[in-house]
Amino acid sequence: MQNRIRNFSIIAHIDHGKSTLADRMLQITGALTAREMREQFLDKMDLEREKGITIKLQPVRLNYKARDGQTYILNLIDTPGHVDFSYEVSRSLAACEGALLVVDASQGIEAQTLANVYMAMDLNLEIIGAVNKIDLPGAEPEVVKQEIEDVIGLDQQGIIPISAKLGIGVEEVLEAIVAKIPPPQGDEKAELRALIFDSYFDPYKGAISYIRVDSGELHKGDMIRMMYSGKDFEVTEIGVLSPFMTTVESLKAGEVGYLAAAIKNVADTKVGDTVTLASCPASQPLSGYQEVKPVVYCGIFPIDNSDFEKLRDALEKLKLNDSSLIYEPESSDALGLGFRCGFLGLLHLEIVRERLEREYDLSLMATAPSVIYRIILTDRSEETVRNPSHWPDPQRIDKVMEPYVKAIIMVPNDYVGTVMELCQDKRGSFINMEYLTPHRVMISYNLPLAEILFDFFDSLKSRTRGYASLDYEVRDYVVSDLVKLDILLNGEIVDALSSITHKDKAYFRARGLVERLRKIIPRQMYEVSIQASIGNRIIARESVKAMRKDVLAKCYGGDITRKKKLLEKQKEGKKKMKQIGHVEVPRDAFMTVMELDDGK
Amino acid sequence: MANSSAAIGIYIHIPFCLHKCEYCDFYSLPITDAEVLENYTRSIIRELEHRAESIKNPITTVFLGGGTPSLLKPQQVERILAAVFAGYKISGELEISLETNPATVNLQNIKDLKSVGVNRLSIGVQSFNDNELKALGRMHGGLEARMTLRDVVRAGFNNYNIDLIYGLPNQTLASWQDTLNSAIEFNPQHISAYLLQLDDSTPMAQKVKTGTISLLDDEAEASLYYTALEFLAEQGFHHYEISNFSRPGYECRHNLLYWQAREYLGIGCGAVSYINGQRHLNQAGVNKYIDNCRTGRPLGIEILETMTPRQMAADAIILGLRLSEGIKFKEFKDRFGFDIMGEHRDVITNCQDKGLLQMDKESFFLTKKAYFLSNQVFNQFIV
Repeated sequence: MQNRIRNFSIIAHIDHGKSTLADRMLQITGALTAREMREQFLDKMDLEREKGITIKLQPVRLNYKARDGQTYILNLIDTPGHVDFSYEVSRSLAACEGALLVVDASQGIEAQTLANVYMAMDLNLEIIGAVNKIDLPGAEPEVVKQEIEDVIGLDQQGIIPISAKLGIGVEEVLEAIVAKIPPPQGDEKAELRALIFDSYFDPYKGAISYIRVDSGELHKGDMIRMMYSGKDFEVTEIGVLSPFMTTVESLKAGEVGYLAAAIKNVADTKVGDTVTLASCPASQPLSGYQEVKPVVYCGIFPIDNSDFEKLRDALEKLKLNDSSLIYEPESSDALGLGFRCGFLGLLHLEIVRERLEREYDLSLMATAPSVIYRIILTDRSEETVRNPSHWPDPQRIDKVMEPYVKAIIMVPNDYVGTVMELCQDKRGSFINMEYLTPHRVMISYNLPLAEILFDFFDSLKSRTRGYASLDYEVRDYVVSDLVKLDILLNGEIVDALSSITHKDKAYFRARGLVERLRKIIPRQMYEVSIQASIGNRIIARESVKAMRKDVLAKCYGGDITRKKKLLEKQKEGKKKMKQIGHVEVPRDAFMTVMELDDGK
Repeated sequence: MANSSAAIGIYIHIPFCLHKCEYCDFYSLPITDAEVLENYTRSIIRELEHRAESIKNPITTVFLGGGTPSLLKPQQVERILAAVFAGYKISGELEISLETNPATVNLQNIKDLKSVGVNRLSIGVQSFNDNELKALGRMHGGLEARMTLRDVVRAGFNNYNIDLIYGLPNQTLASWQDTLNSAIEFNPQHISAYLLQLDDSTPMAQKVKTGTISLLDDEAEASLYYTALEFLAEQGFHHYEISNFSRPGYECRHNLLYWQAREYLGIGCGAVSYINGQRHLNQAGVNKYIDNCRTGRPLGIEILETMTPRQMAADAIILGLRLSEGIKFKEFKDRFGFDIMGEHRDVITNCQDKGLLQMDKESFFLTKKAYFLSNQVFNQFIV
């Protein structure tokens, strides 16, 4: 049985054609009828399909009749293609014996792809290379093959030129999967160990875990134990995804499928945990488990304060589906009651916020994201700050440490100068530079995570006309000269607008912020003064003059309807405002602290 | 809410001008020939006859607006008015207003208009400054404006309005004061002073967009406005609506109907009516209008809004607050059946705190400062 199983994942950069290739595989193997087929079939969330990005494909089991006449079970276990989710990538890869590397024939390898390939190599996965989109006019499959050989060390002879869109080469890929990727080796007779590589919440069945059985055998009705959380559950359903859920009686070593066990919270089925039998537990869990820790925090508040409970409810429900989401109640003088939420990265933040608004019909404000600072106080104690408004009194601070990342940027060599300039500007320190090919360069920098959170990626893209790709991982904490920058409206500090910034950049940032706020805060009944301060020192100021005119000079029988529409619009506009003291602030203002480009 | 005993006004739209002004967004066409005017007059009369049976309310005002209604011959105006008298119940002495533009009428016309029953004129002077008039695309200069006003006085009109516009490109406090002074010389009973507010569709708005001309900033516009307020008060004018000033007792009764959210009947191409809680727009397109009237086909009517009692009450607040007398608590309750303070206390006190509304025992009303910021009050009462 195991001999005819192949477990693999696809490693590809966004837009390099992963979803299309998966669609084609579904078609060729007959997993879907023409009627069932739709584009990006395995992209589960509307959000993914809408943005044309894949956060993660749903796993799928394909029955493939190979040229040797045998039918193989190919389990496609996808990895998320975004740096925010690199731990999940590692767990998905850990569930496979091989990986299919897909590279766009005109773009070449991108930084995140490389990071994921290295991870796969560390896990001893067999790598199969494919160069996709060879049908496009700009395709240079030979150049890209050479690049893959040079950078990753795959023999270019084995790299398959394909066009997922047209179906060219896809069968060759399937054949290579059968021929090159080793079958799983687990002992069916040993104690059960199954790796959870993903899970989600189903309102009817409870948490559903996607698992790869490493050894032993799992049956419906078994009492299972989650080895890290230590909790026991009775399996109510097991099955495979082909691609629709199909129940089976058992899953044996080497197989991939799902399990449901009336688990009420997806946090009890953590990615990376090992499932074993309660009656006869394995002595050691599978290795590599980590508690996922958020790196970015921001405050999320309902525009309408009375929606606080609704927001709490929505977060609870969302967390059922997303165990990496962390939140705790937060109270802001300016914004009222809300939650400080922790995320794996900015994309994760954006997805959560958008899902909250969309799926739970909430109108939200988010404050600028913040990293986690470690502060050593003069009394030698240490404080962890996730919220700029909790920054201690500077008098009490001995030193401040902020997280640094190692960033890898891949870029055509023409752009090396501008990329280095950007990195310097973002307080980066150069590590090294390597030519991947005569035209492509890999640059590494140590950079403060906080700088990357703001507009680094956008700046990088615009400076390199979209050619640069970025990957980073959080490394360690470094002592930095950081200060808290406050914003005052009419003399009152607005806690939700406070941010942490490097001292050398504080003045510049302050100027940019007050100016931006002046532009977005509409005129009001009274003049609004906008100030930026560090401690008690005001370092920048602007003001929004009092409103002097808001009138409909003419309003007669023929205009009334039209003029009322204007007033209605104004009323609608007010809903997008948040009243802070006597000042009405557009809700977007709280994000502008983030969007501010201090490079310009 | 139809109340067949309440007096209503008739608005008659005359959508013709010698020339379309740069800032104008009303429905009007450059005049073609006498035949069209005659056909249009007949159509108006037909429509008046036709609509008469559905209107039980007595008529208290007639307003011929445009366009330039003074392009009609006095004799045509007479026939139109005759149709009103013949078909409708009349309440007391009618106020019959007619809009006219300088240089489109002479002394004889004005005398004739008076003799056919027009008892109030509104003259679209806009400014006495030639450059400003040119920028507006007006056909007349300051001199023509003066001549027409002199004729109006000579013809014996003792109730007429001068329309003025402020906030013109390059306008200064001094030139605005000059215009105000000039207007006062003719001793009008009524002055309307409008801020230039351009609809996107107008040629002038396009010029602003492309930067050919630029409008004044809010501060400058506000100071022009408050200059007029102060000056006209000194001259004994009562500031009775955001943009309107009159000698006591000479408020425009027809326009008051709008601001009191009373019903009115709109006759003519593109005119709006407000009847039985509905606002509707009359047949657009002069030719279609004339055709349908002639052949007796029903006019194409577009319903603009159908209002609930609450919306009608909101209209009454939004429009009523335009008037300096504001909203009277008791009158409002009698009319709409609920207590305005019970319903809107928060909004009203909030506006009081901001210095936008003032209150006494009987009523609440805009403060002087609030006139030029009145949307900030109105938009809170929108339902």
